[in-house]
Amino acid sequence: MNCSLVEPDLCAFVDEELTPPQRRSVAAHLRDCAACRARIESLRSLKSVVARLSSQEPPTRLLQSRVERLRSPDLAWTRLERSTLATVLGVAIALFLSLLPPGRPDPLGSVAADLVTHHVQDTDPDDAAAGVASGDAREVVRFFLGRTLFEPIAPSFPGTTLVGGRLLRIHGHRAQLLSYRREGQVLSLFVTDEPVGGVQCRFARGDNVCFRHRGEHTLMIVGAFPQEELQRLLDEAALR
Amino acid sequence: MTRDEFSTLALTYMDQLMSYARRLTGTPWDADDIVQGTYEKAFQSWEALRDAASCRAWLFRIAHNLHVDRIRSNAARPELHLVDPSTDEPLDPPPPPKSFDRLDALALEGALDHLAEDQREVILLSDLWGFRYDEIASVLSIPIGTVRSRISRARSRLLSLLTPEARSLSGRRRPA
Repeated sequence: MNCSLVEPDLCAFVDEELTPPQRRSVAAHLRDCAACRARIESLRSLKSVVARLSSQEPPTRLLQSRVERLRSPDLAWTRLERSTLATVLGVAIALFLSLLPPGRPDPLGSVAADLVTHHVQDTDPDDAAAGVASGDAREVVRFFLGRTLFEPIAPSFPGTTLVGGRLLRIHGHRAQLLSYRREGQVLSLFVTDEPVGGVQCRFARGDNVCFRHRGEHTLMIVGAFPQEELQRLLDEAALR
Repeated sequence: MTRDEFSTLALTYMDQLMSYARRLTGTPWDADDIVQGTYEKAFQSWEALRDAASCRAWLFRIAHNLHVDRIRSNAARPELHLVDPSTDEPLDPPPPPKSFDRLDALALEGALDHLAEDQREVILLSDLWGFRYDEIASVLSIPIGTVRSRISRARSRLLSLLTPEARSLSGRRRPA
């Protein structure tokens, strides 16, 4: 058996993936062929150095907690179910809210509460690499390009300074979280293409949340400012 | 195997999945998406897993398919691409080290970057994560013969990049 016939089997020989007859055939050739023996040694050395690379990477605490929550059967919805739910929720929510008598459950309030939670906990030290710290709107938009399923934006608001942004999920959908400073306080702007809310505001967990649709985007602004002021900021936001 | 037993087993592979997803996507946030998506699908369809020994390969397969779907989805939205592929020139190959035994991780990673993606993936699945050829075939949904040929080409290419001795060795053929 000559080298050209054995050569295709050398890697499989090193990986112990040959059948016993194939293995005996290659081994017999190696006994008489120094060149192929040297080739085998090179392949084995290469395999061992690749094996020394890092094969594990610890997930962030945020990802770990998300995956742990998925263990619960009640939360293990399919993507289709979540997508369908988000669409139905978006279409029905305006009509539903207009029919609400006082004291009934408020789905938009639940969304608002989730946004405030993100607003308060928007920085995970382990997730520092998942965002951008910059006051340059173009740099912030460049960070989000390719990471959202909609065209990302970094609006400017009067009397407010952009400080950065990060990517996150809201109810399973990718969204932008943009951070601003206004009068020494933090404002959070969530941007998504999901049709959540209309021209509405809510108070949740100590902060106000206001919603607005601008073209393909839904803007949700969160902060410790009066609702009228948040609504005015959304009205005056320059998206480009 | 109960759902709880499956969940416990599946979560033991999260660190490996994270490493795999990171190598597939290149960014921590996309890798997070892949890992989270993998576990979402896994917890929904865990009963499709025939035996516990196949769990790791099964999870890697889900992650691989999610990555392929993501690539296809992004390809349909060219306006979202950050880098124009036509201007993304590959770096020069690393100079070969004086000794193969002293090859450091950086040089090896540089050489791996010069492999075609399909070759890089099979070599890492085999040598880094220790999958057998039949498992790699399952992860990537390709025939075992294709796994063998890709590994062979990948190692030949890596050797040519990493060792001047291997360059001369790979060019020699004994006459019939």
